[in-house]
Amino acid sequence: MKYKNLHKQYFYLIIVGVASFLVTNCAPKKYTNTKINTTYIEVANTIETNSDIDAFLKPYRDHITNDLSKILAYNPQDLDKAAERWQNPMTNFYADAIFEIAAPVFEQRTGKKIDFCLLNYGGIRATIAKGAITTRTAYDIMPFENNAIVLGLKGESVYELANFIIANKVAHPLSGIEIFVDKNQLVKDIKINNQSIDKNKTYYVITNDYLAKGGDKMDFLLKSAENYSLDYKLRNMFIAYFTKIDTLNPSAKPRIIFE
Amino acid sequence: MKRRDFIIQTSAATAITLTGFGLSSFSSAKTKRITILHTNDTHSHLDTFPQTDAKFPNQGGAAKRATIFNKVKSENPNTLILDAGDMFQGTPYFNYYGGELEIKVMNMLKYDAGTLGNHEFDNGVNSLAEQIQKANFDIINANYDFKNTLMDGLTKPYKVFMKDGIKIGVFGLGIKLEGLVNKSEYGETVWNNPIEIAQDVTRILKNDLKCDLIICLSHLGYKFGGNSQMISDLDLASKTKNIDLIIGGHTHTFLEKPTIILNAEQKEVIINQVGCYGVRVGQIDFYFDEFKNKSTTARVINV
Repeated sequence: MKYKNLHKQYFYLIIVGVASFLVTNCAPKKYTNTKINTTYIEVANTIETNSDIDAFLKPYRDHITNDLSKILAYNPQDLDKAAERWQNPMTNFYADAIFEIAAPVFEQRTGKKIDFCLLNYGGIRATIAKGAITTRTAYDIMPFENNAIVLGLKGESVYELANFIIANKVAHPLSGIEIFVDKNQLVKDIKINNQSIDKNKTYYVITNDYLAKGGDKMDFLLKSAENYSLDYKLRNMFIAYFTKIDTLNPSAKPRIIFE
Repeated sequence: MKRRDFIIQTSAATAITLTGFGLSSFSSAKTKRITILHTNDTHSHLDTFPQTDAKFPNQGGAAKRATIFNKVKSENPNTLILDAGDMFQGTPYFNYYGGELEIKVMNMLKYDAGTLGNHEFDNGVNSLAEQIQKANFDIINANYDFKNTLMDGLTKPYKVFMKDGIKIGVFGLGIKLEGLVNKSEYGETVWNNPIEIAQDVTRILKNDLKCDLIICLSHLGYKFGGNSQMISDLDLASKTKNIDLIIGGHTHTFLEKPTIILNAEQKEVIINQVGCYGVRVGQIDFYFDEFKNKSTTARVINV
């Protein structure tokens, strides 16, 4: 009896064995992720240039280079918007140049004067290397097709603007305005033309149409009562500025003054 | 009784041996390797930066990137090439040719898929629709609803790739456009919450389609400052499940090494991003082994 039972058990196990053989081998295999390796490959100078890609790009590159290689000015130092935590020569130059080029255009068309300039830090898309400034430099720092726009803002909205900048801690390019910040990181005064601003007076700010339409969450700009499109691309304004100067000499004067 | 137990054990051992033998004769057990190559925020930087560049001298360039891609692919044909968005805008190539060259070069580089960044909308949603029809690779996004735009039907929420028998689910997520892109550019595009969408899509990829690996192409951004309401890759990783890898973009973040975050089920998620302008390529190799008892296998992540 005992021997017979044992035989049955053995047979049963063989069946199980064959069944599991079929399951593991003929059903789709289950693979499990056991290891992950990660690495970065730097696209360095030493890596060979693929000739197909290079040949494809060449006619387009040559055409653009031919268009944009005209030397407009000289830049004596590397400029980088991230060089300092707050405003720096790059962000200052950016706003000062637009203010300078826009001011006579706006005055001629409207008889009004621009009070200050506000642009967006994120809009500065490149550094400017020491050396020749060409038309291409203007494309590098302002690749977007945005136009200049002048908004009439009440003094109280200018306060909202200053509070927004301080709260968000972003060094948006500014020109023609001084924001004074106390030890508690609160705006205590704002000066335009060396005078504290009046909350009920209208001030004219030159900016771009991206911000004017509510870009970068600058909602206070949507409250403007007056709106003048200059129909002038910011990139072309930079080209006009570079053409006007010989050497780029950015101001280091802070526009946000911390106590 | 004792003797019977002994025999049963011996028989069971034989059966296991038989199975093992059968396995090697049926098809040999091997480790499979899936390689992911990825870029983000290339921003029309098709050319190598000039030697005079203040930040990236002699770095980047699509023709050099092609050499890297070809080399990795020749070493492992089971490679996917992915991009996490903002291929457009940043050099005169985009101003002159509207994105056509970026797409055509990505075709030549044999990208498998890409997702949409906010700068893809810079010339408006209609122009984007015109350009991406030239792509030979899939444009993958699950949280932009394009049904009332010309983009309708030109993107996929996800795609499943089969490489060496491994099922890889790839889905895409895009950043909130309001406040970042003017409405005049994105038009009637509707943005949906990426975390909710990720929960739905990963359920499909994991439970219904039985993917072995799930990758999210994200243009949400790596992380944002303290008060920001923006949803980042760090948020996405911790609040979802079933994602193995998030390939990120938007914030131009150069990481020292990929970040590992625990998801809602306390499982690891890798977040990776390779800065910007095509000066770096990310490579991630996933190794797969066959196991009968999945719960006993551990995963090693080398970052």
